[in-house]
Amino acid sequence: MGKLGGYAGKILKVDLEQKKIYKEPLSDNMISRFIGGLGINFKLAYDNVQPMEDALGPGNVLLFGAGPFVGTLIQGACKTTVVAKTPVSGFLGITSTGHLGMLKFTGYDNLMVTGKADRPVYLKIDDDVEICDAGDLWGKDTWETTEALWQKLGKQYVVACIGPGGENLAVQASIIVNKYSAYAQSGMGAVMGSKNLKAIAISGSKSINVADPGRFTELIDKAYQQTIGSQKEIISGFRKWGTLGALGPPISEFGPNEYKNYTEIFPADPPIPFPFDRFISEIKIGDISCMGCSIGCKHLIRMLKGENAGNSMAVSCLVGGMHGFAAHCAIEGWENAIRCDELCNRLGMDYLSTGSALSFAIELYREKIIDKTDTEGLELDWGTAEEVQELLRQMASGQGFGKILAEGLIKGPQLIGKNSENYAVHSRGHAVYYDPRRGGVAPDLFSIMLNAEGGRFHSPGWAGGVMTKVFLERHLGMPSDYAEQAIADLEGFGLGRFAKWAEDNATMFDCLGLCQMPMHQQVELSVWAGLYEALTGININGEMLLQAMGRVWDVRRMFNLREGRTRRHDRFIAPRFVSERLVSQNKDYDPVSEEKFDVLLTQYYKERGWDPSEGTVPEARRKALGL
Amino acid sequence: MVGSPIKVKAVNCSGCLRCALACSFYNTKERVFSFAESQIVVRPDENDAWFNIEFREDCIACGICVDHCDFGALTWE
Ligand code: SF4
Ligand code: SF4
Ligand code: SF4
Repeated sequence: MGKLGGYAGKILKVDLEQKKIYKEPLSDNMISRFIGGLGINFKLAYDNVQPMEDALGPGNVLLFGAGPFVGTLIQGACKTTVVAKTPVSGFLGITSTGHLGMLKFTGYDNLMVTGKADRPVYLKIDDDVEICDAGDLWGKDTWETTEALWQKLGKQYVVACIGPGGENLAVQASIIVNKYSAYAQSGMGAVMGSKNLKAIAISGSKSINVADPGRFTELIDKAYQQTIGSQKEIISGFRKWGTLGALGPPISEFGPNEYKNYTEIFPADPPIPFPFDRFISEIKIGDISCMGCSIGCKHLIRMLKGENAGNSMAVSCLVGGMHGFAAHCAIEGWENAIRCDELCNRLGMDYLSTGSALSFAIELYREKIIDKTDTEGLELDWGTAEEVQELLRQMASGQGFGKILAEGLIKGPQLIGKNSENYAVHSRGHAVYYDPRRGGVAPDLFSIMLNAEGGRFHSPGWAGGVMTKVFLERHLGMPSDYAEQAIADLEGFGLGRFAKWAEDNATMFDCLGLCQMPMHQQVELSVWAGLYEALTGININGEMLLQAMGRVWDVRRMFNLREGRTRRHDRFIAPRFVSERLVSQNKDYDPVSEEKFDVLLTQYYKERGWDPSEGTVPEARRKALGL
Repeated sequence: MVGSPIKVKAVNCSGCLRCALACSFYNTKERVFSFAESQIVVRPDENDAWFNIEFREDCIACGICVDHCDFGALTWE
């Protein structure tokens, strides 16, 4: 066996309070138990955040983690995850992007930031690690901040920073990388702001080793063939439209684009105010890709309105902006929707959670629960682009009615009172991605309801694959008899039970550093395991990888239980979904049955090996993990 | 490399960095991934070409970067 490959081999710990920097080895024990990226972030969060700590207090930690695959030529190996106790729900929050892989080239797999600086600072990580003064950057938007740091340090630095949203602790605040790529949901921008940490600038000159280059080369070709080579047409369509494809069927049928704060169905059939041909002819300039990905589902687009009209802007998830503003707030026309996205990028605010809070405000205004005296003169209604943008600015700057919305969909309604919580559509405070009344409960959707604690794809399961026995066995790693039963009768097998397998697959991606888009799920588990062996030199097989995912979920569960998580939290809380029908466009959907969901929840707990009533982790397993 | 036969069309570049990763992996004796060792450098630009592409002095015009570019940003002249 050659030298350790894949891993950089160290964890960087920065204590902003004491102004101390620690470089610690990434232990074999940590690697074998939690693999990397998300898994190691979870364990570090468990070990370093005291129970019931304030998410926006100095006791929270901000963790960045790049899995062993990141920074290599494995197709789609780009995702770094950010984890912290989220101010949105108070549980363990997760978000990821494909543009911070540079961390690995500085010699660190994970970065942990603790404490709070006594003044605004930024972190410069290259051959050295330095905590630098950011007094002149505080108050700047994310574009200005990034440009200022590029000017000062050079464009070889990847810059992850917060805007006014994070500085002012808006729970919708994001962290923006190189001016466009977002650690979007879960309020990680606010956690960063609470530490007085304005930016992290990273440039690495180190190398990533490969233990067995010959076998590795063979397997990267195989993984490339299974993702790109065998689905050329799908890939080219996906590159052209990116996530915008979710505006149409079949994904739109699950209700991801719900209109007007989930009171209607988005009119996806013409005449929609977003002509697709115009997107291609006037708006899209080019493709943008994550590190190491040949797909390129992100866009370089032209801004059409505002002081930057005519200039270009890269966007990472365009459909997020469409959900947040076009669907939830009923903003019309590309000009206005893109302007909202631009403001979000610059102010460091997440598209979906910001749009969700704004649509909640619009509905309150229409229902006369709030009025002009609350909004300081802003007259809100569906599609009022200017007013929505003004309120968005207020959310980021902590002013006016925006300050209340910036508290999120749990605390915001408490401050407003008057039963306003009945209009807040969220899941443990997180903006919701789809309407369960319309989408029903499928294993992946069940998982989102239960476990989404941030990004749509991050860690809830998504078996974007095909329901065939071969897929379940070779890709999800299900035992043959399980796969047979699930194919014959999924309901009989148990949707909740199935969800565990889909989740473990998705979580493995987050630990290795892979993109969860469905084409990557076309790669067989044995190929991922083989790649891991060839890259790192550590023996493993698919079954062992999945066992590690069980441990990763145990740690996450333990963190959340310690924060008071109970069975009651494991569901959608939005009153609208359980008490109101959705009647729109000649369609009529029932509210979600809580009883039915409860049955699936018990199946799920059992399949995870947790206590079937409260989902606690058995003592023996806790002890084995040192929890 | 001065006068590289590789033609750059920066407007097509997606910033995927596969060219740079491949250059270092296939051309270093130690078979490592490294931006410091790569002879092709891709950096942010911020115009209609969002990235700027340059070759370093020790580029041997082997074309491995061209083979790994799926966006048509690198082609043979
Ligand atoms: S498919 Fe899209 S999100 Fe996934 S790695 Fe490629 S560019 Fe990034
Ligand atoms: S031509 Fe070869 S040496 Fe030159 S940048 Fe491309 S891969 Fe590297
Ligand atoms: S030149 Fe091609 S391979 Fe290199 S970053 Fe640009 S798109 Fe990717």
